[in-house]
Amino acid sequence: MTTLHPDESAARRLAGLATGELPTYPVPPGTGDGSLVDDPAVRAPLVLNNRSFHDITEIVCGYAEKPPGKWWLPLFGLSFTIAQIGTLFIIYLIITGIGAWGMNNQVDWAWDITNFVFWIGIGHAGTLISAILCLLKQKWRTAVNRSAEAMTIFAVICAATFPGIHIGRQWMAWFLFPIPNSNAIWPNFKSPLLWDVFAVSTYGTVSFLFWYMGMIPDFATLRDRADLRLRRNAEGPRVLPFLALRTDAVRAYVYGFLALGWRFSSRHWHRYEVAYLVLAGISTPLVLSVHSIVSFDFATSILPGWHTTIFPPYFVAGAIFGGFAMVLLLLIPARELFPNMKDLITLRHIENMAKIILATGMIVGFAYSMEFFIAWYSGNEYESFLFTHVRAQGPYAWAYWTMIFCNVVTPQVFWLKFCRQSPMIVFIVSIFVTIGMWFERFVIIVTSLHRAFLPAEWSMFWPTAVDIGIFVGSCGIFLTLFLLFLRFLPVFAMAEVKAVLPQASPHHHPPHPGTGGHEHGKDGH
Amino acid sequence: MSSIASHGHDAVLHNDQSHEHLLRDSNVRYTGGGSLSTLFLVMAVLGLGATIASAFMYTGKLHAIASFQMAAMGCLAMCLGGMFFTLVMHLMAAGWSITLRRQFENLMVFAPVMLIVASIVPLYDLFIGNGSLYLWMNDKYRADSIVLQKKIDFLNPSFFCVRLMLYFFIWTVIAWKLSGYSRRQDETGDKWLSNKARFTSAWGMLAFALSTAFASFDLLMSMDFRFFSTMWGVYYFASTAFSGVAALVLIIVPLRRAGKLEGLVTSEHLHDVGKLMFTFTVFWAYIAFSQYFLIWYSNVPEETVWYLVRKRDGWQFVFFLLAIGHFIVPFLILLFRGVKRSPTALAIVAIWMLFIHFTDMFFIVRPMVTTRFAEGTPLSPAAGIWVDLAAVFGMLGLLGLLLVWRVRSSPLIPLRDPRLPEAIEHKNYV
Repeated sequence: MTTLHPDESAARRLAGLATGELPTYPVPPGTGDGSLVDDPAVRAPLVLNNRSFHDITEIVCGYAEKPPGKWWLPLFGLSFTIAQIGTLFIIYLIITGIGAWGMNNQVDWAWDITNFVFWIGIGHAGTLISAILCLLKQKWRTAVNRSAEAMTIFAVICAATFPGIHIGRQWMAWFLFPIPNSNAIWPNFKSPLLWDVFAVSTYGTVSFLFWYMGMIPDFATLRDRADLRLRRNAEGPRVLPFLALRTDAVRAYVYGFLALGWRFSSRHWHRYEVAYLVLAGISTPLVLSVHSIVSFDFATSILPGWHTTIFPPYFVAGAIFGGFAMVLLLLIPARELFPNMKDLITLRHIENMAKIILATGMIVGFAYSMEFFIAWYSGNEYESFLFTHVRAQGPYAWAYWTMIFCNVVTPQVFWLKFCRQSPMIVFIVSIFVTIGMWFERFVIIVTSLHRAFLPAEWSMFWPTAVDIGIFVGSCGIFLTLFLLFLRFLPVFAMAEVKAVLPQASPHHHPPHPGTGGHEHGKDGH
Repeated sequence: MSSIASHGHDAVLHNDQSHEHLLRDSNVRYTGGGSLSTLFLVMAVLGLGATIASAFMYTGKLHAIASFQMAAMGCLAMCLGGMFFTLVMHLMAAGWSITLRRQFENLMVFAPVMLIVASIVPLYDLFIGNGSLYLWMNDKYRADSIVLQKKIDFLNPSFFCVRLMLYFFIWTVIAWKLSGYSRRQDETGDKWLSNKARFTSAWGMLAFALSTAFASFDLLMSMDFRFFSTMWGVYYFASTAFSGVAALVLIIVPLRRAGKLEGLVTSEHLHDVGKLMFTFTVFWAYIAFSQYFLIWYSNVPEETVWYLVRKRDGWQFVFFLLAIGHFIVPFLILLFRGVKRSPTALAIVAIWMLFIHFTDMFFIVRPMVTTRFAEGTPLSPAAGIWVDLAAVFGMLGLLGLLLVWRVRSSPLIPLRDPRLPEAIEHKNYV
């Protein structure tokens, strides 16, 4: 063992092939886990503990290959159960009709559309990280992009459920699509609701392609590792004890199928990089267009509180705001629960995302204040009545002030460095932001509708058990899918993480062996 | 993944001694520009002189002050664009753009100056001109208009003046602090000044956003006091970033022509500046489209009136020129990699961008001369356009004169910024 290179022996321990403590490396004082470097002349390390290329492979593949911790199965069971309860509510809704919801003639869009906009918004952080931060060459994105993209897909799935079930007559759902006029009816191409169908389906498709294409090299790694174990070792874990089918054989076939014949040739990499950049370029306008079109659903109307020109960028910023909160809600526990994940998702990553929450939260606050100011400045009495009397003081004032408190007030703690750098505080603020962003959509949709121009039409919306059950169920669906992702798919883009290691730099000069320094750059070069 | 994540970076930035020769005085200091100053002075005198003279000619006083204000708001946008990019580069701890930042700072410091220039017309209207361009200052509307009565808490002379002073104060503090840190770092080499600048930029960005938005309400939107749009602040901000980055190119490229910035601002940097031009072309289009589209679709009279007067009497051609020239033309041209990497091509696109930026200001301000409340005979955009051209010409001369002086007064890049090596080694790898 002593003849092994330190990287090699660390990797063997990570892989469970050898026993012993992992080597530890000194952390400079005052830098938290080593990533909170204040010195402007120093770029903080993006991967901690001097990981080698091989370490990264072992850590990331380990999540998909080794049994997860004891927490996984109970959590999965719980979220799966919640998802199924939600499904039961959906079935009940379809059998009964949307009268089972709390909406009424006046508030005819309520909980369902709130949930739709909420989930669609959640997805935006993934696309922002994978596309816009890629174009901006923000290297820290490599640690979070894969899981954020996965979250995007799952959020779109949750979002798509709601327009699908809110139409009342499910057998007419195909009317959403502009299928040539077999019913002598064309969809209204002038309606933003139809554009939504295009926008969300395009967004879902491109996001999926982006996510999947990024995983291809990692699938190939998982395939090759399973294949290697099969060849080396005649005996290995089986799928079921009585079945002569080895788990690695299933892995080799499934990951091999998903890897689409990837062979790690330089030509493959070259095309991959070009395709990645093109997809990032395509996704960037997409991320803006999707929520802009969602905002058009409201802003093209003449309803007070809905018709305002700032809606498109305000919705996009709000979506990114809520999405980053969700990324943090998922990744802060994940980095505690998975071994070695803290080396890849450092405190610096958390801090950066906290800063994005602060920035986008203030964009949202800017939009709230512009709405309020212009509602007054316009001199339009309906508009100003809505803001001053209905939203700030009406029966839903509690919802409005919840929104303001969660979205505008709580992120302000991120002005303080220790709050940005404490995962616990960031996690708590993220909970507030997620609640606040849900309430934002609720406030926009319900408060504008429940006070129409004629007081005789005024009414209230209260959710029923079916409303609440379906929303909670959608959270279950989301969490179930995310847990499956954590268990079976490559949670990090290995090649990208390796590219931000110090030894990937052409300027990297490893210390000379024998001087006591830890040598890098041996493998992978 | 090397091209996507670029290359991994060292924990400690590379302070390569081989860069020293790039920082020689002949490369980072501009001492010429005497004849350029003269040229700009002549431009300013002729242009602004012609604008003032036109007030006493057949085009009339109102046309002259509208043209002057249009040109001033266009130049103010360029300076605020410089402020935005300086703020955002500090905030993001950007490395690649260190060698560009000084020129953004040079633009930024003139934001308060251009605000003073842009305040001349409203203050004239307020105290002498009886609201000829800024209609809310007009006694007639103040007495008659019910809409204006509702806004009197905001649109009143004393509060208006207080706000102008507030913008002046905010922009002066931001410009003075950030420019000061940067220049002090040149002398002391204290790397911690970068962190101070970053802190200033954090609250500075918030102050910048609010002040720019309200300044655009006060100086542009309030001309027609009936009109309102929550997007207006964002719309003007989009113009500031769009024109600011174009102005940067028109500073950098001539400096390179003069043999400066060799190895400091390379085609790699221009490539990324080109991407910023592309980004803000699209961003402006997104904002302008969203604002127009939502107003058009909802068709609420008090909003559509603003666009209606800008879509008739020849103004529809300006409208379509903006749609094509402010978006489609730069969008298609800047897609090409070769354009972004060629100084000459990029400078040509930047000139076009400034032209179309002033056309945008022209589209906002000039119709106020005749189309307000459908009074007076409609005036086509072409009528007396020489006044508008003269005003823009003169105002650019004034800003150019100030910029030449400012560019000469300090090194062309932040000489001792701790992230300078990163900027020098910047590569795109694609």
